[in-house]
Amino acid sequence: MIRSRRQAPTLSGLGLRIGFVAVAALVVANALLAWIALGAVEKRLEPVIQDKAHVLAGSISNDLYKAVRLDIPLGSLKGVDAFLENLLIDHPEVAYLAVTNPEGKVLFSAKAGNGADGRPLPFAAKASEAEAGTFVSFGSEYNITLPLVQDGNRVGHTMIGIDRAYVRNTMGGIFTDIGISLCVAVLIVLELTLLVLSLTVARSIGLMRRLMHAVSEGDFSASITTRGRDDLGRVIDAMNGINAEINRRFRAVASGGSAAALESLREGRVFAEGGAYRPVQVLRAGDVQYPLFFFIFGVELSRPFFPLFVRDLYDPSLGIDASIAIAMPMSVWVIAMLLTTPFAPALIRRLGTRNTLLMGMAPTSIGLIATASSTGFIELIGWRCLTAAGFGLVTAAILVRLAMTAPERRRALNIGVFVTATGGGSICATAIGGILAERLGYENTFLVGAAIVFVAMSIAFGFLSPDEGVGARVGTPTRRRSFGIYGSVRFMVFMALSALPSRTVLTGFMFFLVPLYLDSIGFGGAAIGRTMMVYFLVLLVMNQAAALMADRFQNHGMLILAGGVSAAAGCLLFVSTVDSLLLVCGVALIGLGQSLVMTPQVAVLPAYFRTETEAYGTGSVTAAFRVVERAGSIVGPLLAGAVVAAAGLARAGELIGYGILATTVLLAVILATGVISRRH
Amino acid sequence: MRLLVILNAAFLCAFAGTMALMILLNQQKFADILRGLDDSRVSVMTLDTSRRLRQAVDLGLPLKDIAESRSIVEALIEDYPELESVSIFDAGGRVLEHGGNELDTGRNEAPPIWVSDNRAADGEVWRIEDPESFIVGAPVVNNFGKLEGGVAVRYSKARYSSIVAGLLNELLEAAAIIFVASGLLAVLGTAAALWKLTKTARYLQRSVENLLKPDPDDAPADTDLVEFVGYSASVRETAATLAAAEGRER
Repeated sequence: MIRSRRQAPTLSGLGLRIGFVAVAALVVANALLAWIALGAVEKRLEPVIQDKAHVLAGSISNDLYKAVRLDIPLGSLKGVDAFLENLLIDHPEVAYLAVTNPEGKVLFSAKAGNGADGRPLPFAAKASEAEAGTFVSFGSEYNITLPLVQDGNRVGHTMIGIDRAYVRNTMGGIFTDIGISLCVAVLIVLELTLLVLSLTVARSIGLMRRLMHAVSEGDFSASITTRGRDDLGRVIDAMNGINAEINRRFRAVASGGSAAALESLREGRVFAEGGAYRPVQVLRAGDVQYPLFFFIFGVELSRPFFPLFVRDLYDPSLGIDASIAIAMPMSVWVIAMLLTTPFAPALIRRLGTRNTLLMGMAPTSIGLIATASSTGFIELIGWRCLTAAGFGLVTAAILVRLAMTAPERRRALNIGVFVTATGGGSICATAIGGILAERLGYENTFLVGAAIVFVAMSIAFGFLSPDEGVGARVGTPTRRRSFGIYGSVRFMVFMALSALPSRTVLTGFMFFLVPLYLDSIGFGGAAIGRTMMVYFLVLLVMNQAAALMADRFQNHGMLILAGGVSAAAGCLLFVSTVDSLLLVCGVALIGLGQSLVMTPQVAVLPAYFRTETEAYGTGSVTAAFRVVERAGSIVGPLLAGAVVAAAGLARAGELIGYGILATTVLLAVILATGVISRRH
Repeated sequence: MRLLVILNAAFLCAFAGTMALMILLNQQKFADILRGLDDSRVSVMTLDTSRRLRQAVDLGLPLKDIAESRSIVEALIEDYPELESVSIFDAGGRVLEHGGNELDTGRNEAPPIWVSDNRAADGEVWRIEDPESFIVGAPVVNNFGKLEGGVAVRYSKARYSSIVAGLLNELLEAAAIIFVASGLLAVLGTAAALWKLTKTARYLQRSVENLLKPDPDDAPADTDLVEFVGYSASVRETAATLAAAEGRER
């Protein structure tokens, strides 16, 4: 910190060490708990499985007794193998079923899995020695034998083998969920570590540096408001004490001293002459990262199941097709968001950043609670509007705050804070949201989301000063937005072939169609969440890489085209399969496509539309791009809904995929001719 | 100390949340498997009973006249004490044989939902549940495809709930111990990581406090502090100027 920089613990080093300790403790604790849980489950399920095997063996014996009573030799019965194989289908824990003669020779058998391997049943030879109805652990099975007795003579045995690994294998199904939960927990722990270090250490160090710098320049009029009595707080108290003592002595001299003496004291120095100190403030971009992370986490928790939730509330009496009705709340969300976004700068100026964020988060939290209790479609739309209104205000306020705290050259870094927080929050939310929805239900997951938004509110409340941002000249650009840009055919063609399709893929395919399609092929909430999470993961990883590639190769057009092809391929692959791995690949391709397109789309605007930029300004061109993009977000779900209504889910996915491919090819042709890029 | 408390409070919240999720996932998966196994076991019994009755019905006997019914019901109740009741009823819902606890509808009438589900089952097993029990039933159909009646086996949810609760208790106990142990590990690890920061902060505090003292403590030299050099120089210089002014005043 303040000590010579080589020796002092740096914040990132400290965070890494503490994060490592916490993550290690978390992983070890949960791994231990998972292991204990598996043992406890096995211990409880074994007798239940044995009871069941007993009943099944009894049932098979009852059937065979019919033949035995009629003196039909067991070996000459027909169709017993098929009968046993049929039974195996209904009882997945059974490894084999067999009927033997009194000497233990297998007469009929059916084996699960690799049943056709023709290997003998080793336990069969011991069947006559085994005590009737008791379980014998032998090989990879628990074996039970029931003798078939006629007139006091053993005529054969019914044997059942229970797969000892059944419980372990079945419980294994939740290990993916546990793994994902653990990964999300690790991310949260790291966020919390950075949050607390940022709140306490980094903030205090920043404030101390500012005060030291001010005093070095001769300014003794500043003071730091301390929040707690930690070690760094005590250093700040000591520094405040120095300033207080200097000012006390200055005021004592000033009260009776000569003007000349005062003049020499004031030379190159500033004192708190009125007795009031100037508060030292440090605005850090990271301060809003943590509330944003938790806010996005809470709101996006419903991402993997939202269309399914709407489908449950769909009311046919409204006269709207089900697919379009499911898409409506998603489009309405974007509209409501857009309505509140412009208020963010003025609200920050008037109420400060913290209060603006709280003003946005409160309705979002209420909206999520109300969404959980929605009983009708129209009611749901209303509550989604409220949630989206808050969401729009919060995201806009955070972007304004980031712009406010960043000098021009660090603006990209600050926007990186936004991308990291939203990306991290979305990944965690999509993964956990699916698991929670499957286990707790949709409604309870919305409530969990509301609680997480409340955590975000608490962090914002504790983190940000109430007066921060009040009166600041923030984000109110002169709105000389010229509508003339929309008259540019070249610009609108580019928008129609690039910005609109990419938003349609995102909102229409990814957010609307993907959950519905996965649900239609039998995926549960957790599996839907896992699959969708891949999109955000690829986006988070590839966004930076795409930006680097765009800068390095300076061929934005090629990246946009590659992104379009990737997204189209992803859509087509996704709806052509039911294989989990291929579905994930489809989603990953869509994510890759989006990340390749997002950065270059904005970067090419000044180069491709030089005339328009000169005529209307960079701001107007970028703003027009954003407007078209948002229009795409509104239209995307409705368009996808209409296509689904007409053609069904899979066909709609194909049509969207081919549509994206067609627009990409058309864009490639136009770019090649140089009509847009003016490359001759 | 405060930093240590805040950091570890945050960690412990995250630990608790993850462990709670872990317990929830395990408990629900276990409950699903247990329910499936119990259901499958009772289904085997029910289908077996239904098949035995069908053999008699196929010989031309009406369901109510099958003498074996009584012994089948009694054997099931005796062999499987966890069963609450076993009922054989005709297609109209009249109970022909019943063993175990009484039905809410009395000894003579099967609940209407059993009768309707039995009719709709199309030869397969049907399942319903009420607040206290799970019920698995199977229709008895003669060889002309005519529905003769059905068998319904009721078993208590209490056993299922107590096994699930037992697992939950065991996991909660284990989680509590692990939580304390991992919390301790996190506290110790964090304290070790923060030790250097704390040491530097205390060192700096003493250096700042020494600045205006006429007889400074034996504080370590402060010349290696990057920002502190300018700061201390300015404070000392101003203090000296003030002292000079104060001297002139006197």
